[in-house]
Amino acid sequence: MASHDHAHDDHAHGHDDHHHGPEKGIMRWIKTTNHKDLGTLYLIFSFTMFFIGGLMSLVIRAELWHPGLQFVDPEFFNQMTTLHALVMIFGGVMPGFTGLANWMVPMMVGASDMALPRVNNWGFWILPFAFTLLLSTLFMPGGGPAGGWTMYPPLVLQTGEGFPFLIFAIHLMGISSITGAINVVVTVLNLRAPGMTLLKMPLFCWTWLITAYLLIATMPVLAGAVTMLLTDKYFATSFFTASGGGDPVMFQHIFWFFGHPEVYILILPAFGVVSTIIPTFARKTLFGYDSMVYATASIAFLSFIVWAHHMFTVGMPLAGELFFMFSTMLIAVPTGVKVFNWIATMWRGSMTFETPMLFAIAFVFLFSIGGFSGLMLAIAPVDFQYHDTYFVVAHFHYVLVPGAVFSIIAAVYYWIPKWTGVMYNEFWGKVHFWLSAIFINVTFFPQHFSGLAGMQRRVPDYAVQFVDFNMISTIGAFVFFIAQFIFIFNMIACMARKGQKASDRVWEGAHGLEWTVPSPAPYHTFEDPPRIGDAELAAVHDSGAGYSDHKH
Amino acid sequence: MSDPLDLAIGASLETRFVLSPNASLSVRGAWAFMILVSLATLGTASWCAAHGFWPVLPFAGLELAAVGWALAVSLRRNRYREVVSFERERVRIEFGVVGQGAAARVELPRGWTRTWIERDAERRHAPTRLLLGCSGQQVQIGRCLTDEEREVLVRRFGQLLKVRFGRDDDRAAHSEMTLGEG
Ligand code: HEM
Ligand SMILES: [Cu+2]
Repeated sequence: MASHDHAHDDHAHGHDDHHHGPEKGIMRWIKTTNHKDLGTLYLIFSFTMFFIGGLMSLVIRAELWHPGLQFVDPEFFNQMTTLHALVMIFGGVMPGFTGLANWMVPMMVGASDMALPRVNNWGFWILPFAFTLLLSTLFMPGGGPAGGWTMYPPLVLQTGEGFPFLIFAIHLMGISSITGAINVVVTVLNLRAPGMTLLKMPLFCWTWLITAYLLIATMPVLAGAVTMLLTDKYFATSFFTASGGGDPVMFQHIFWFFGHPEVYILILPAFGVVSTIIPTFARKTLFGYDSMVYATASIAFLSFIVWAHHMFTVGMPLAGELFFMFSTMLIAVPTGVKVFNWIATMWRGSMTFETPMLFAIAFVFLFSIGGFSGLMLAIAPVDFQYHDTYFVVAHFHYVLVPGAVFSIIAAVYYWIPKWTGVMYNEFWGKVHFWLSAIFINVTFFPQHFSGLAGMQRRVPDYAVQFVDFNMISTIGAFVFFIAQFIFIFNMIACMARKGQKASDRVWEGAHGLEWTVPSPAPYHTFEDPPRIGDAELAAVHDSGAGYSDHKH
Repeated sequence: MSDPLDLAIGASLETRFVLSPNASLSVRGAWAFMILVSLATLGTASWCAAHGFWPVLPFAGLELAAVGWALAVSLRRNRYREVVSFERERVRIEFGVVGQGAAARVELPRGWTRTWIERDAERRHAPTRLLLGCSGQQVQIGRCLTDEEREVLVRRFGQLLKVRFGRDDDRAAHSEMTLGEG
């Protein structure tokens, strides 16, 4: 009665393996290709790295409590600053955003999963290996890398036996970022539900698409740069070795050609998150959606032509100093457009201040402070004074912590009711917010002053006049760190399903596919009278007509 | 909101569904994106190479190959189809690729066929499974759909199967239709 001529087609979704039960226990997590599982894994990994990187920062802050050497030797101190940055950037922020992308991008565009689920699995599981390698360098002869996350030669070439492990770990992180980026690209480009044109996409998808573009464009540069370090050290090449005719300053150019787009890789998805949250709690649509997209694209473009603002002091020709000074200042324009749009969105909205909104508003305020200090740093002549001081440290921590990290926290608060079906505890959310917002400023605001007064970064000792500022910073850092446990426990409670049940549309002002359990006609199923032969199938696949009215 | 099913219920009981994955990328779009990334990636890599830093180039090449592969795989998968035809006496389910015809075909007797959705009890986030089955034989369809879409589809399938099974007058009403191979 039933005929089943079986011809297996590897790129089709197989239909005959429904007997395999789901994997159990740990194997389920190792083998999973489900975007939600992987999103969860990415986020858990990210917060683990935030914890480890946070502990390192506490070592740094404890040492800086007083001038002179208190707890660790200078060599170990420098290993801490270097690894802190690498862990936070490549282990905390980037996987955090990839986790959010995994969870939300398919839901936002109306796809059933990411486009390349298996690649997605590999991309994640590379990360634990990469960071085990990286952290294991601490226990090797010569210790971990201590030349700063920027890995400038010739200093970094003095790293002990951990050096090749550092390079290999960077390669692995790069591969993981690339797989993540490629997956986002093909998902966003190819798996949008009919009717969802590019300019109807949620901004989070847009900012991630552009981030992925930046990643794809710049990762080979990083991979090439660190490979050349390796060959310089072990294979007698002299790409960056002056004695062999190489140029160490060229490493800086190459590194920052990757590095500056990288800092936008760390912040563009945050812009997307904030552009999602603010309209929800202002109960208005986002002001200037199109201009947001164009601003993001111009920031991405400009980020390729500003790299040397990190190297104003290496001795560039005047024309170079001027070019990079003005191109850097130009970035303030699209950034300003964004800040303006967020404020205009809130203007006369009926606002409420739940935890995600509080973090989003703090983002707008505090990220802007980081932008302003960035503008100061962009002024080449004054950067000669600021460069390599705590002023730079204050700048990038304002853009990275109340910027990137707050946006990840905001996003988790915002979506966790959707992910777990359980509402987090709002009271503790607010406590967490206020402690975080206050103590992040206690930590980093004084660093502006100590930096302007000349306190150098990456040095465990300092002149006595900076004691007060440093003590304040250290207190801030410890309280901020401890306050994050409130968040962790609040989220664990949701994951353990302890708490109030969340409704389908958790936030009354929220829009987007992810909040509706849509019951429109099956989007890309197509029903019509019989008598269509296989040859005609091509004609029916675009049955998109009329879908768009189900949304928006 | 009007239930789209109400509109659909009046439709023919001899009907056919073509299920296809979301496919918003055109071949031109894929090329456009490929050219856009290649310009940036190869541009910088060649600049590095021209200045003696050639090791950037192979990485760029490898990476662009990966991007190209991902786009090509996506475009190829877009041609995947599942066709479910509800005919007079049977439900025919075909799997295949546009342009290559059906690669696999299952036929179930319409009157005995059931449809249902299976959820994974232990894994909250596992995708649901939409099945059509008859006496021990099960066919999973609609993997390329989202959970919500499968919900809608199973209701529609349920209607078609129930009506067909239970109401003879319907059968009579439609019997004059020309049926492909009935
Ligand atoms: C208006 C936008 C911005 C401007 C004008 C700007 C400008 C600058 C300048 C001139 C420096 C070099 C300072 C020096 O070393 O003397 C710098 C450093 C830095 N910026 Fe920004 N920046 C901006 C936004 C951002 C964003 C959004 C991020 C990341 C999310 C970021 C992260 C960093 C980091 C990590 C460093 C220090 C790198 C290091 O030396 O280790 N900046 N910024
Ligand atoms: Cu920069």
